[in-house]
Amino acid sequence: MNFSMFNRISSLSIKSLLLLALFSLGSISTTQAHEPIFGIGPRTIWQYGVGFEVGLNIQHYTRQALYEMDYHGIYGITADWAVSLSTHQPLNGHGANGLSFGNLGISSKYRFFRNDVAGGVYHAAVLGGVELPTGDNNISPNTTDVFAGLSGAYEGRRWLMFATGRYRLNTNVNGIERGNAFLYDLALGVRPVLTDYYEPDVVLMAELNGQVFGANKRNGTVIQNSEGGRLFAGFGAWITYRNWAVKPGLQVPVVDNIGRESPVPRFTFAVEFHI
Amino acid sequence: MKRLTITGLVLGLLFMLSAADQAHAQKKIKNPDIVVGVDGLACPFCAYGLEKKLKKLDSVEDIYVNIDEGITDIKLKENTTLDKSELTKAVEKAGFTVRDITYPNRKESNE
Repeated sequence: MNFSMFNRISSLSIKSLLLLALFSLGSISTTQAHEPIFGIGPRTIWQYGVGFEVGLNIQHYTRQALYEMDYHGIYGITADWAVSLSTHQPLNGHGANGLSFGNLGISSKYRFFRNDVAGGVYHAAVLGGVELPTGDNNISPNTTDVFAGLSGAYEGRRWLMFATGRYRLNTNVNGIERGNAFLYDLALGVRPVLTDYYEPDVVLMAELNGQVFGANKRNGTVIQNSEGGRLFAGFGAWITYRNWAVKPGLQVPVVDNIGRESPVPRFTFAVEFHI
Repeated sequence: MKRLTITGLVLGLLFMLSAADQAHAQKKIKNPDIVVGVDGLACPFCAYGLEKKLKKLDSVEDIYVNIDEGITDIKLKENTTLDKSELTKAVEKAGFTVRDITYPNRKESNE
């Protein structure tokens, strides 16, 4: 195969194929290149642009390591308004057979504030989304959950800062009233070497990712060890070359007062590209 | 093994789809017809959208993005023109803001 063959394929048809693929795949976690690795930021994509991300997550429990694939796509309706589709695919554990997908997440971001300055941007976006009960019941709850949030960031040539808060409304399942959740992310990034276009670019990221869960109830009675908070520290990097990005990251639990099985470190490795 | 093969195939497909775009490197334009000052340009990854939108314009032959200076040099195809409003619209669709536009080869004013 040669490059000229690909050049004959219109960018529109490639985008259509990818969008179709995304619809056939399908979590509300919506990371994108140049966003916190374990959280969300206000970054959208250019008008009619398509971004696609494939990620591998590894959580190493005492008994076994759990592997999970993440699939995520983003489409730019305008330069400030994007829609996303996402799903996950556990490869082992919790009844996963490696072929089933989790619920399909559909989310949107609208960047209501953007101040472009020389070599940087201050921006803020409102976020919203729904997770549909389309997934295998062994790996995803058979519920429709929604979330809404706000995200703001400064992205400059050297320093980057992100802050995001999301509130998630969980619906009931099998007689259990699921508590809602508040998720928040704080991230700081630095670009050690300032590179130009067509040069590999590296940004180092440090993050704090928090989760606060409301109590789950059965017949009005609080289920033990279902309420509380968790805080994680995350470290990672964006390594990009033009429209390609590679994003390795490690997230470690710092605080956990829920009382269920203690969270374990999570390693993630994602590849993303935009067309 | 099957899962790894599927994952490898997906990543390979993504790479090939993008390879066509990667085949040429960015070259400096010696005598640009237009120089656009672009605000909001912070990283090479984000500049890709700007390139996409500008190269879609019929009259644009080549561009050179200088992220450090926040400028984009544009070479036009022979006997073509590109007015400021069309150029501004393309930059906005890419998610950036035009700071200024100059036509170095024009004798008239570059207001």
